[in-house]
Amino acid sequence: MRVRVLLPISLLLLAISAYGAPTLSTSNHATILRGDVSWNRFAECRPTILTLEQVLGNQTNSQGGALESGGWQGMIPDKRSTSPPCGVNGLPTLVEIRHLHTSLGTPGTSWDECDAVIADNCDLTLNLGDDPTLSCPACYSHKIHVEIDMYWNASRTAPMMIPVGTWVDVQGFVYWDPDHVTDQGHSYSGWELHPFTAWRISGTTNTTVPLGVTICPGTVRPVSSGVSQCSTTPTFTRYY
Amino acid sequence: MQQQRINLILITAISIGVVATAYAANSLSVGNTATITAAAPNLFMLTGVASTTACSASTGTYTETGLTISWGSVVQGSTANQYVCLENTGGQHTLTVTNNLPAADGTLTATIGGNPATGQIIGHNAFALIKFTWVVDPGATPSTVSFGISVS
Repeated sequence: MRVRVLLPISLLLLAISAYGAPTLSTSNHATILRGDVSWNRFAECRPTILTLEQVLGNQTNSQGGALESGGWQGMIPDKRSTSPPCGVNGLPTLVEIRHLHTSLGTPGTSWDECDAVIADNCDLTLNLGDDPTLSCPACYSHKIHVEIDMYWNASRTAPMMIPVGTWVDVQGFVYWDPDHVTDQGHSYSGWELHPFTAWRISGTTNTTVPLGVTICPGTVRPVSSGVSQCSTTPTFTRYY
Repeated sequence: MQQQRINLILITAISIGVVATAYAANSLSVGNTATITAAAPNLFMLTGVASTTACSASTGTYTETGLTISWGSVVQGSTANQYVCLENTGGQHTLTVTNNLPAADGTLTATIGGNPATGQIIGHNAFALIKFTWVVDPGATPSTVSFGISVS
């Protein structure tokens, strides 16, 4: 008797569970971020406009450097890529930060890793910050290291070097370089904009920038710890 | 003698009748009529799959309730994509996909194999990879948004 009752009920439940729906409804969620156009035509992503603090986060190590865990998690996996992914971890990777100053930390552009990866090319690096009045270590969480990558320079799609002592708006791909968390010249943090794709003078509204290659007509020499400079005035040749 | 002949004739006739009767029973024809109606679609979905997914029963656990698509952060003026697998265990069905994304936030389209999903036929026990493309309006207000997508 029990079998007679339970069997049909079991079959009914089985039928219900196997039966789908004639209409499926999905619930969608997103966060819309403020965006801009890429000023470098070869950086084919839509940049999102962030503050420096949004990129670095508010978590610091004992020396005042920004931690990886607190910063922008939309970081690219390969700093040498000339076509980085536009999104990582559900976040855009190309960012725009406005009103940064160039004279913090290093005495101008440093020519790094020359010939170390590809012949006759260097990364052109600089530290940028949003508050030159801060003394260190408080300054470290207000600075970021940017690098015009040698592959972009070699392919003639890189921006010019930034003149020292100016306020600029910048665009670049977010990258975390774990090799520099103990470097004072890197603000004791691995955060970078690398590849650094474009810049303009703050307050201007340019949406394209000159692109080409920067070379050192002289020799690149170390001038201080971790900093190498060109012995003569670098030259920029524009191609785009 | 005459009687025996009559009996033989009767027996023969009866035997032929039995055989004939048996034969007729084996040849009965029955007329059948029926109306075949289209089975309702039974749709199931698997969200958050990769763009290269070949949707099948083994791709993951399909469901018809609690379906959520997380788009993460999208940038004004950018294009974002999400992919889902659709399964139909019911009858062959012509798909319709609708959404209620606010126009100010952009436009959302659904395609299967590069063609609009709406109007495409999904067969019995068939699977399809649907691509949702959201072109975020350059003037969309930076904020958190929620919207629905229906597949029927």
